[in-house]
Amino acid sequence: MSVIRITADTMEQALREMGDVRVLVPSGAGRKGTYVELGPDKKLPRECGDHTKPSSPPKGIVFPNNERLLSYSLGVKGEISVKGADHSQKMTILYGTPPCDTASFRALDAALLKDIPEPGYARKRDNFGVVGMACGRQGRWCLCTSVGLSPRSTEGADIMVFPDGGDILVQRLTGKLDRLWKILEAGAKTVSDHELSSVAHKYDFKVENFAFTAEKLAGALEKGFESPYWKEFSERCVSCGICTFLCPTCHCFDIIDVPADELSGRRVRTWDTCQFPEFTGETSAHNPRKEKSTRQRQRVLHKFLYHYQNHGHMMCTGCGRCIRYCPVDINIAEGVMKLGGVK
Amino acid sequence: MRDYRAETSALRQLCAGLLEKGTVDVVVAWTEGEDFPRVREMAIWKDRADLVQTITWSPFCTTSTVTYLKKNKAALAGKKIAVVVKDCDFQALNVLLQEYFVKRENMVIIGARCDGLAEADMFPRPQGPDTAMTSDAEGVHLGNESRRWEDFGFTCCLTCSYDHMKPDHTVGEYGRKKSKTEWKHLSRILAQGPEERREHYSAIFEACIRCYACREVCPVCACVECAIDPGERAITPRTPPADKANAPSWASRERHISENAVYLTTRAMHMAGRCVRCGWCERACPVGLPLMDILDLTNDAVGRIYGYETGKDPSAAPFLVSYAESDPDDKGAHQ
Amino acid sequence: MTDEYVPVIAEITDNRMETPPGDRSIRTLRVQKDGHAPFAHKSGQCAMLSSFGKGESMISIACPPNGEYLEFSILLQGAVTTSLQYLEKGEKIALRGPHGNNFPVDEWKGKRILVTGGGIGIAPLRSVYGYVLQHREQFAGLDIFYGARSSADLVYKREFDEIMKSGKASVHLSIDRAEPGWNHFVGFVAANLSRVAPSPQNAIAVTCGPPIHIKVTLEKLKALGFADEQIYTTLERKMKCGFGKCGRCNIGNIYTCTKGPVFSYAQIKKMMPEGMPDR
Repeated sequence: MSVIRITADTMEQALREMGDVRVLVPSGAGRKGTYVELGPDKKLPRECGDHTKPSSPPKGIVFPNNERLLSYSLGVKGEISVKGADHSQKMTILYGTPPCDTASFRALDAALLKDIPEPGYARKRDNFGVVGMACGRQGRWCLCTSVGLSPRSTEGADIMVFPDGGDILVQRLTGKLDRLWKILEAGAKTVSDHELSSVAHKYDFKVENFAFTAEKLAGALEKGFESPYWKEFSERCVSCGICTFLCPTCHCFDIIDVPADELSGRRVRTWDTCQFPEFTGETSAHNPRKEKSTRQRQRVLHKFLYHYQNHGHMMCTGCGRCIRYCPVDINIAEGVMKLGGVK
Repeated sequence: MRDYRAETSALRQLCAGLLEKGTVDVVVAWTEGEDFPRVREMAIWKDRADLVQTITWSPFCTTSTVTYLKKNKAALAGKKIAVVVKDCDFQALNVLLQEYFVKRENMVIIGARCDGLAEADMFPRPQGPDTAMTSDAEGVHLGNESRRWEDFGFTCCLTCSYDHMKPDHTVGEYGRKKSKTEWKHLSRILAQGPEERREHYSAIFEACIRCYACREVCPVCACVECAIDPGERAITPRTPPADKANAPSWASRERHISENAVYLTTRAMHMAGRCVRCGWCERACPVGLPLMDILDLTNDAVGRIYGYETGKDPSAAPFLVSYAESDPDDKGAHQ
Repeated sequence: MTDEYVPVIAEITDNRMETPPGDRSIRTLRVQKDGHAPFAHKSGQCAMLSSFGKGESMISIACPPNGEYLEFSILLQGAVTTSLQYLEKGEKIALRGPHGNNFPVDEWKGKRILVTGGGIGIAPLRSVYGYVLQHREQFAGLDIFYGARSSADLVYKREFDEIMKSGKASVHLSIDRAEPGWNHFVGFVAANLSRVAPSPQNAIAVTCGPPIHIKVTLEKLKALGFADEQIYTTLERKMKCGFGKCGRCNIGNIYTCTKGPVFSYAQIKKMMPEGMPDR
């Protein structure tokens, strides 16, 4: 059976009993929000929505802002010794993220695991599962339905929960968290398709802050590459990068050498952003994206066109953070709609 | 009761006149965004003078038009500019004038008297674009919704004492008495012992993601090349390789507590006599760092120990390059 | 699972000066691991060379596959290239690769190969004409156009002398400004190309160099009648990871570190406009 009904307390009990597993839950909304470990001081969330979303997305759990890649040690006669990093992490379950955050892992997997997998992400991702939760309340800037998702979408989830009063309906989607599933399943009531449908229907509310369908506009975005609109769109941009740092699917990174002394040090991977002027700046001083209009164009097209062309789904998951937290009120949905000739 | 609709109307008329008469080539002001009452800065040129009718002024003008000037220096160079500023922006403009970063001639300064800022996202939305916007000594009113100034938690607005700006034109009258009040967030920290203080600041340094938004939004962080950012070097095709190879890296871009600490504290040091306490860095920070806890250490020292008033006199020497006989020596400075 | 980030350690077995020391210094490094090339490669591919403490730099492999060694011609630019140029014979070097796609030289057998290089752009082209010279009888012809700012800035000078003497290729050298003692063409490489006007009949043209060189050369090649499918070049971008993940080297939905840097002009025309040389 792939859908069961249990109480929220049962789920909490099962997760707490898993011992050697770290369970992370969103804690606090907005700028002070973060992801904390389920523990004596932290209860399992019973609901989720835009009102419970931390400003930080969950990508940092498997794609940290600082990941060691290797340590190096040099000899005085030019000898080199290098030790690659382990990249592994304790088994981790993320519980209670809304579909916009849950689906981010679908986009991150596509971007970081295809062809040659990125070692740090791949290693951690092996040991990481997501229990997504249906979203109970949209926010002012949400646009999940415009990008092919919805408040009840299961993309990216290994297990999906639908809160229903004090109960939750729990749906198994992949085998990744079968250890947890087996504990929950034991003695639980099976749920019919009809019951699942009726409970999930509560989460079928319309998200219409921005009335467009991204897939339909992809062609217009491609044709609009040279549009003068990009200049207008980015005029007040300060290239701070907040849009990309808070985006659940942005994953551009930098590789930096950090010397400890003249002969040894480490090489690390940190987040980077296509919005910084020097992102594409070569040592020769040639910079194909010197103008910030070209950088904002890159961000928008990567989210709404390039990733879609390469992987078949929108990279944007509609969480709205880039719109909400942009210090100068730049709105990516507005940009896409204007270029797409909508409204 | 301040009526921002009326003040906006007066402001629009003023700006329209300046453009029409050719007194200025461009007006830099806040305009209504798509998500009222959020605002956007814009440069309105003569050929789009119709956009003057979108200019707005209210406590929701939480950005800095002076930051717009700094970011778009090339496009505005040599032009006659009118810029609408609130009190803290005016101070910031003075700092940039002290440093010859902008020129006073060819600039018309329109001072919008500010009682404090409000957080648009604390009001239910959407709101109709004609909703009344007013404020008084207690707080801000948007239609039927009211919030108190304290509710927004804007550190700098709640401790603002700017009420003396001298621009070319003014908009509005102060509706709230602003005087030098205690910086309670700072006194609380200074009252702590060294271990508690270390914990407090370490938590800030650890959480910083080094997005550099604080630097980018700051109206006075205007250096072409940021001294403590190795990722930002002003190179050209003519820059000799040796210069590129030997450029110092004071704080690497590695997101690590030690590098973050160097960045945050060095920026605060570089802001001595320059930070006008507009608070935008703290409002913008995506991870909610209490940045004024760091910057106000500098601001407090500059004011209390050296008696220097940042951004007061555009023709005064900048703090860090001036010296007075009365300056305390090292022995006296560690209070 | 091999870790893409961990380089292989090899040895510098030669470091020869190509141009005089100074801001435009170019040196060629030969890299071997236990007497062999540290890894196999195809013409056009690149490698990430490490200078620990400073960073990495993506450098074209400047020789055709030969099993014995890899060679890199390094132009002085900044921190990494400076320290790479200082490496001495016997010292170790860390590198990752091979990265990127390759010039489809096997498909070009039977054709006339026309190579035009501007400045350091001749380095990746050496992996092409080097391959053609290795299998000369399998190709209909080889024309090499190469120019630099001055005669001092020309690289592979002795090799070109030998190639010219061997008669296996026609070599057309040029420098930007006249110098006493210079008996060849004076002007840009593209101008020399126009002057000699090689035929596009059964030919493939490969060009590399600074963006402006590529742009002008493309125009000249089109004027000579070369079809888009007959023209190849490399589109370089700043690179960090080298395996299509860090997000910075893309042109549209294509990462130049994996699906490039080699592209035909026909492919470039289909890509997003920011891929056009000298944009």
